[in-house]
Amino acid sequence: MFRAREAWLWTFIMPVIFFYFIGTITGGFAPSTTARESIGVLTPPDAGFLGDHLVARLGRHYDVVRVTDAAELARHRRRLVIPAGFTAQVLAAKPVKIAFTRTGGGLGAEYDQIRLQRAVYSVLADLVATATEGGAPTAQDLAAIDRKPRALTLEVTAAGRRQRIPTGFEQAVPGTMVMFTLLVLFTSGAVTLAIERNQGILRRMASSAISRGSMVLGKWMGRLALGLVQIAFAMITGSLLFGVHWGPSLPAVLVVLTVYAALAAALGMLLGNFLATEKQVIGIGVLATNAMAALGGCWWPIEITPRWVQGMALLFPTGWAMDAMHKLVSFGLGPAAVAPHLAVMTAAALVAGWLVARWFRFQ
Amino acid sequence: MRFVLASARKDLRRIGRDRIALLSWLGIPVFIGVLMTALFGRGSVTPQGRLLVADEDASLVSSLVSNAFTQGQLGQMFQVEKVKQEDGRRRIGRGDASALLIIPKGFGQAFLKSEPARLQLLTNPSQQILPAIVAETLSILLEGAFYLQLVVGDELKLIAQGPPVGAGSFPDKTIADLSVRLNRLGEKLGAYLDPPLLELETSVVEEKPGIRGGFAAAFLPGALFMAVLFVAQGMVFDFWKERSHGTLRRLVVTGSRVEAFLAGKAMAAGMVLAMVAVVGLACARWLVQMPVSQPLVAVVWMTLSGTTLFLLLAIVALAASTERAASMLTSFVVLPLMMLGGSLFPFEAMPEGLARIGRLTPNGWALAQFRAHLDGSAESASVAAAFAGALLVATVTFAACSRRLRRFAV
Repeated sequence: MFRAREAWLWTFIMPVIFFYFIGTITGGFAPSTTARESIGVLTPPDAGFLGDHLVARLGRHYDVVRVTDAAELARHRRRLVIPAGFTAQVLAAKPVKIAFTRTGGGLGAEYDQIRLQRAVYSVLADLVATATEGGAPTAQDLAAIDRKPRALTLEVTAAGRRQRIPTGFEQAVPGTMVMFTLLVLFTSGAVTLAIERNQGILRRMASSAISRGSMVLGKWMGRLALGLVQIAFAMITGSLLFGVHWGPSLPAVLVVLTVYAALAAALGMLLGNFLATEKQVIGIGVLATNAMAALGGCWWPIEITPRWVQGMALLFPTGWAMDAMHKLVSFGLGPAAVAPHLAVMTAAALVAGWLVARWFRFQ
Repeated sequence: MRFVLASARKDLRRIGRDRIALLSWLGIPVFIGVLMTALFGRGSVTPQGRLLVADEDASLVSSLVSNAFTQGQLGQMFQVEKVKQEDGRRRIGRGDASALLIIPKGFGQAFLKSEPARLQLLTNPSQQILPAIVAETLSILLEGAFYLQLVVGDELKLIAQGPPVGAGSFPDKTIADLSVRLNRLGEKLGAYLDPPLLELETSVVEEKPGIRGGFAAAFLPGALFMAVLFVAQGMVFDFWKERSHGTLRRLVVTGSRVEAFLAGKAMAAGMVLAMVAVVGLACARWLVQMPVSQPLVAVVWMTLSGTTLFLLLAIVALAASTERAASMLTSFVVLPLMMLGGSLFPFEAMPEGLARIGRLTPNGWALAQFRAHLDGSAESASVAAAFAGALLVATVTFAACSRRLRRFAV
């Protein structure tokens, strides 16, 4: 198989291009909750202390860049305009509108909306709180509220042992690797079987002294080797070029991926065994890979799909592989956590291998 | 012309014999349409997950906290499940939910008495969106609680103390005092809250034009052009088959025109592409329910641009030294084109720089025009210019391809 240049292309070149492409794009599927984003705030000179207070509140969520003219503000993706005479108007009990404009919609825009509302309405809440004490609020009153300790607090920790949540390429690379392993074994791995059958190679082998089981085992091992080379290359590239950290149980990750490759190789042989022509194998192989990748959580964070799809993911080898990878990489769990995954994928590989051996088509 | 038709008929027969391959080409848009509609419906993406709540307080206040996730938009995102803390920890530890919220015993009383209490949130590290939403919502709720304590803290403490020892309810005087205090407070705060002194006005400027019909509608046109590229790539290998079968050599020897042979192949490719277009548009219209305002123009456009892509890929395949090299070279061209040209992800989902490059690729440009035919935004002049441009490119590539084919045949 490695004599075929396509195998080299699919094994070594395309995955890297796809890592970059999919990682770059799917990184934007979720709004960033860890990196601080910037916001441009047009603050007129007479905005007063309430303007400063609002900017301070925004500073809890954003890197605030104060600007003084509209042209400078227009350079920002998030733009907030504090109206002229802001403090004076509020203290005179005149309702004030604060305008926020964002370039680009989607989940990120909704997340901005939440953060902006929080900042603006907590300023209003500060005003209300100072009003209960009587008299007009001052900058000192607001600072005093800020200093008050919060009795009720929230402690957020990530489950599992790993405390850093994988984002960007750390999410995209494992998914792309799982998909490409399947793609290569469903196309290059399967198509060679169809070619060998159509060229009469399998028929000639049938007349030799090799047993059917040995032949199937040999072909399966060749495909497994192809899958393993691809996985090893993808992991090295992922670590060196994209900074992927594979969690504390690297040997367990390797075992999971090896078993997954064994299953994908056996399924690829099933495909090559029962389909007649190269075009059929490639067409069905590409469709099946895409379906399993989408439903197994390789294309996007599985949380954006409906609950029934999330439940269905474990019907596919990709779903088992991705779930095991999440347990080992995202949760940082030990090898015991993926024992069911290994058992299921091994059993499925054995069944697929038995089916190929039982109904192997020499012609 | 008879030779052109005979050549096209022969190719179509050969394609028709391999029905599974043909169905897999036609299946790409159907598959993407069905998958996207099934996954995301016809609207926008709403993440969905499970929130485990270990409510050890079981008070009115704690139930208000967990009920916040069962209302409105949050209610559509989260399935809230009450659990025991140990069970919840075990389940979040194996990624069974988006987050586990632990409300400690005494939380309600702590709120009423302004005493310290801490909510614990354990998040699923394999998810990014939903845990962040839970954390943000809880932190807003706690901030709201802080202000309530500032404004009506004394009244809350009074309620927390409960009726005097031995009495079943609060004395009338206490109730009356409380009512008067709250009424006065309401009058005082009315100036700030009715109407709110501060109001946030939000507007979103779409940097890229949106697509009606939601997530599935955004993906389907690109999927159609993915099928176009697959069909074109699959069909250019026929040149190698014709050569290995000796057809091309015989063609040159008999004096038949290579151009007519190539025109027949292009015609067959065009007919398969027209079938893909019809199936794809039927999916778009009836499955995804996206607007298809100019179906005929869209089918003709897809056929013309797809045939041009077939000719472009044919030049690549004919330039290769072996059939395998042709397969590799065309894959090397097709996949980046697919990625950049909006077939894997719609331009709207790409970073602006990549999308700009993507729209300049031949398939990306054709896709942008195709979408304009679907949503009816294409003006007559630009449609005519696009067709003229595609025809010009098709003519040039046809000439280059037939020149190359003559050398390739011998």
